[in-house]
Amino acid sequence: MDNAIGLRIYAKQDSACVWRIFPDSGLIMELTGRNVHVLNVVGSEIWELVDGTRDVNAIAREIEQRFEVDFERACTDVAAFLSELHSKGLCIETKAVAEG
Amino acid sequence: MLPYSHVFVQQSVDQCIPIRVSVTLTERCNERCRHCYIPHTASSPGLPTARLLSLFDELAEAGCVALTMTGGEPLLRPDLLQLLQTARAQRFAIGLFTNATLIDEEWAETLAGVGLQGVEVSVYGATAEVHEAITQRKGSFAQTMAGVRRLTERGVNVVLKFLVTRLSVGQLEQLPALAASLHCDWQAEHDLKPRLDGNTDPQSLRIEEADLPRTLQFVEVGSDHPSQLSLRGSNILCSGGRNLGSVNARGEVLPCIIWPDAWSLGNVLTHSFGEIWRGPRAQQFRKSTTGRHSSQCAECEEEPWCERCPAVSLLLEGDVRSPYPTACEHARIRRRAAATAEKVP
Repeated sequence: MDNAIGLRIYAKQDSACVWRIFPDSGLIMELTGRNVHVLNVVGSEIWELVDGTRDVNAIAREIEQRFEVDFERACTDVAAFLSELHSKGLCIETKAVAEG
Repeated sequence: MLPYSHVFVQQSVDQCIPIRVSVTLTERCNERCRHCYIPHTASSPGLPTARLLSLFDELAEAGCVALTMTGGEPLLRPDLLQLLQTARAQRFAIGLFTNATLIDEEWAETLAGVGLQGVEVSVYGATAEVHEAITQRKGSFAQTMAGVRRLTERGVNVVLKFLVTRLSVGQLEQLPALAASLHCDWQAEHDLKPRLDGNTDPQSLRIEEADLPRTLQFVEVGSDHPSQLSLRGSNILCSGGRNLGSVNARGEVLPCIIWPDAWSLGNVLTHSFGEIWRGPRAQQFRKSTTGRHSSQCAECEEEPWCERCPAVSLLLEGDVRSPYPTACEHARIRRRAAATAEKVP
């Protein structure tokens, strides 16, 4: 997975992370390196959806419904967020389905 | 995604989310450390396995993410592996606090496989002579070092927790070198707490006032933890009972590990952790530790540099707000150091 995340990418939380989701934030703690990351409400929702069973498209659909944003915007935001998670080693790609 | 910041820690304090909890698995120990806050007469074997397992569910539900399993010596519990594996499956960042003397090859292999965030190992000096003067157990230094090596050889993150006493203050330069030779991080502590029964024997190990400035400097190099929040200048005495908590070997929920049972917020043998954390005693505790000043400290010029611990105030002076000599000394030194630093261009 590179920075330009495709809509058919499946990803899941890295098993070397632990996390808790609170009403208005989320906390991810790395087991190696002891880094800690704080998520806002939308980031927390996306994080919980990144479980390897949904691609970017499917996650964006959920976000569209839960936060009443348009689908295109949701896709862009989810892909950007997954790229950030991936660059920090917090999620791993599980499979990619060819687009088109 | 926000960078980790004190904003979240402040939120967890304000909302009383117990993000870090220590669970004392047993009071039994194979060492007899002179400084230990657990009275030497204490021997509780700890909560039953089933209750600990359900407690972990309750802690996760309450928002705890960093779970420290401590003792006594936790490796004396025959169910330790089950406890660690269950906690790991519940997505805790697990810290294991041990003297490492019982970590043989098999245990090292097992612990490496669990996926701990880290193992914290108490070390009281850079030599066997100094270390064993504290543990009162011959051979314990070599056993601890061997246990640590077995873990680091398998890639386990080990943090050496140095205790600086009047016996080890002459070894400040050797301690980081010892950690480096073992491929470990280190932290240091020098503030000896009275025992939970009020016994002040541990304080006889305190360093001399003349050694305090360099010791404080040494301790502050290695003491930063991301979930700790400096409370200097805040309106609360302690983050214990707010974003930190503890469950002792008899099931008492306490604001942190060094509060005596009399200040229990409730017992997990009769109530769930969540009920206790939200309950009237917890609320009363928070009220009683809000507002930093005692009448004695209101006019003190060192107050902005003061980090006194309300539990130590209670154990030494009988009042959570009272100043005590070491806190005053430390604040004086910090203030002096800050004034010196300001003069440096």
